[in-house]
Amino acid sequence: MVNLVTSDNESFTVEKAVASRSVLIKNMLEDVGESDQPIPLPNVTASVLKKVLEYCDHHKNEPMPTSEDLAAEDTRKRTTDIGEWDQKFIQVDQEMLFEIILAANYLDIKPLLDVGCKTVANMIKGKTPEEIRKLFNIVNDFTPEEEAQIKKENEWAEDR
Amino acid sequence: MDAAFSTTRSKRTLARHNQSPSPPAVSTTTRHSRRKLPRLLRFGMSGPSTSSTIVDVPGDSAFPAGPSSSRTPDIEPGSRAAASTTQSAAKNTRPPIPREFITPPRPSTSTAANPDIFNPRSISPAPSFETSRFTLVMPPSPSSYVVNFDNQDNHPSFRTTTPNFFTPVRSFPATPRTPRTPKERDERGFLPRLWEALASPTSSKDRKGKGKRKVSVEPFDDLPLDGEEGELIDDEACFIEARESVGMDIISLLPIEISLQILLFLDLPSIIASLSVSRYWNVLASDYFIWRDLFYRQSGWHVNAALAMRQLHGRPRIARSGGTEVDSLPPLSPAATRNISLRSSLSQRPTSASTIPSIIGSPSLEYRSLSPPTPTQIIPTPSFALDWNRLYKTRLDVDRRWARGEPAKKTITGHTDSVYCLEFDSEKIITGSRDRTIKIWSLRTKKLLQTLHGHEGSVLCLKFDRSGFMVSGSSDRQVFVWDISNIFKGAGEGGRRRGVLRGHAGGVLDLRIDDKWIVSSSKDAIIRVWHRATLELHCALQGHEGPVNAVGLQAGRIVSASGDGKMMLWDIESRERIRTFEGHPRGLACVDFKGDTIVSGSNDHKIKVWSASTGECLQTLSGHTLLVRALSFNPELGRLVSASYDQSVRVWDLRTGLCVREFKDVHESHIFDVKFDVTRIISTSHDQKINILDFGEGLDTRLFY
Repeated sequence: MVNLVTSDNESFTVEKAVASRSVLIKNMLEDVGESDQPIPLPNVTASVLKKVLEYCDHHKNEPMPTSEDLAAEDTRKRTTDIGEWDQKFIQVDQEMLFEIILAANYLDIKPLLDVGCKTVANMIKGKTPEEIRKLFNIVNDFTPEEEAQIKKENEWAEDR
Repeated sequence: MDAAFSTTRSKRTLARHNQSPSPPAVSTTTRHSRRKLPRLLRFGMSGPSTSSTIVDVPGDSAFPAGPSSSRTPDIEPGSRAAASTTQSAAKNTRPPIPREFITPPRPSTSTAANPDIFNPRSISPAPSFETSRFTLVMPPSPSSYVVNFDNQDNHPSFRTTTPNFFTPVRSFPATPRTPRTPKERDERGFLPRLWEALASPTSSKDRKGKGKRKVSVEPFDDLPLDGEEGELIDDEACFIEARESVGMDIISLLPIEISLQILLFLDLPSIIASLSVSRYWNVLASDYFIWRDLFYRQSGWHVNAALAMRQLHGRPRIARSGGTEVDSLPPLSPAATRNISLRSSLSQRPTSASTIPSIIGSPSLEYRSLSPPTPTQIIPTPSFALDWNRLYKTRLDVDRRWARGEPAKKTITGHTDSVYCLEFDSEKIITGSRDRTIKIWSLRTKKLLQTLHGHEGSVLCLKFDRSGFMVSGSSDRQVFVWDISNIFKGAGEGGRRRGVLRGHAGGVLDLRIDDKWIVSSSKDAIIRVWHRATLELHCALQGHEGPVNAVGLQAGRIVSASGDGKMMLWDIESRERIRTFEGHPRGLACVDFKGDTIVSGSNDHKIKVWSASTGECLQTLSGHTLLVRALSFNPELGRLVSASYDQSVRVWDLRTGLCVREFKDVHESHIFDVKFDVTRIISTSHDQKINILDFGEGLDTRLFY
């Protein structure tokens, strides 16, 4: 078992297999060897870590992605398909989604990072700029002239 | 609208309804929503197999009223439904909340049968189930993300208080809410939709029974209820607009390399949309990283990286000012130099966030002037940074011209008899003629570089490769081997003959080369395979009963097409015939073999597409009105170009099997050969001419292949 301590000082005790989904933790464990020392995760809060561990627990028996897998991802076809369980898992509000992405990045859990990124991408897909702004609460900081110019510059992309 | 205000208001509204449960008249708004909302709700409830909990909702009387007051129309119908739902659900210790209430289902991952409804745009301008509108007793924010509704301007502001390890804390005002029109209201309110769906035909089966309806929702088991707002749990007025500002600019808040990773999942229209969202998004979505990826996602789009490197790392050049071409290649389109620091920081593994410091807010990310680079500018070339946006645009332009544009037509004359064969690359065109010569032309200037003599009969076929190795076959039954590697070095004496392959008992009709073999086919019905290095005969393949008009060669396998109507697949090493293809009722004139695909053209006026591995005929393309004499195809683009005795050149899309272009009367007589590259179709004819159809006129297409 591995003891993880969050930034807000909550402590989680989880199976090594679960914690090792995080390459960061896996490497730490390899470095320190068997130890009862709690592992501090100063960049993750308890609520986020709970969620992340839920993911790690569900995927604990899957093979870790190899470097070849990672390389293969750079192939031409990019899919935003997300597995069924992952899809439900990632149905969270935007703040949690944001925090999960940050945590997955920090903890180096590539599959989870991917799920997060794909989820955000799916939120953007098919929307107009105004819809995107609304969805993410973004202020349009272009001047009308700039906006017109961008529109003009990108007319070529419209299917003629 | 202030969230706190809406909370109390909705409570009040519900209280009123609870006091008078009899169904009042349905208001206009409500009827309106009834009419149009079933679709929306199906959309919302259609998550894959959501029914884990069945909530029984009483019949029609449970949905009494539309709003009687115009002050709260966007709350009320929904609130009623929510109240009902929650009331029933409250029998459990925790109210089940449909997942759909929390996050919009993702169109691309839904599996429902009605695909058109998954385009959010076709439904409403906003995500159908945005949580910013309504929230079912929203649990506390799991992070320490704080929303402040702090003033009477009704502009909530928010900030992150999470220890943020990659990005500086950014705080910015939320967009002021604009009043919604009644129509929007109808389309957006979730609960009216819920209500409507319950009354809609899709749920009528359930309803017909005992006047009860079933709503399928998912168990809601993760999120704890809010202690602070615990009183809301038992309050039926749990549908509140408590968190209208739930949206946050994830893209701008995340470390830049993660944001780029997200944008890499987008398609062209979404990237274009992203450019217009905000200045930050514009910089991000303009990044070469994104555009290079978009470019290479297109099948068959290539950039000659070696040439680009030579261009970029050569001495700085001044871009040409006039329209005339100079011999040293003019520089590339001004390479984008903006965000060089960003780009170079991203040139390593993009996801190793922990090693790349976030540069959000650094000067290199400052929004740049939108004005395009000036046409004549010295190209600073600190790194291999091409303007991928521009390359993409130009490449797309070329494809569109292939589909719809009118190509520029150029004609080269010089041969004194029929031109039987042609090959070309980025710098030269080489043709063989009945006048017994081979002529080498500059592709750019169209001028004759050299004429090669030697054959004692018509030059029927030729092939060359990048190394300057060339073979030519003639009706004199000989194959000549040439070295043309110095063709651009000395005027008139670049090409020289290196050897002669003798053996065929008839004219040599077609040739293929690869790095190991020379394959020749002949009127004598025999295919001969020669070692390229030694020019010795490897084997003679016999099987055809007529002249072998054409051969294809790939990975140690030969496909041969004969005037006897048969096509055969051979293995060079074993010298065995693997398969015979039959299908064309008449003789075959031409063949091409790439990947697993073989294409053949016949005297039956048709083109057939075959699978080499199964022998199956996949497509038959009809259109030509006379013998199909020549074919050229690019499997990546799915593009096939054919030329016929009917004097036309046709372009086919093998993905659809359709003829997409027909260029009639390209020549004044039978066309004998055709080849194409990214921007050109070149054909030769009995009319002694070489014809170029150019789709790249006026575009800088040198880097494409």
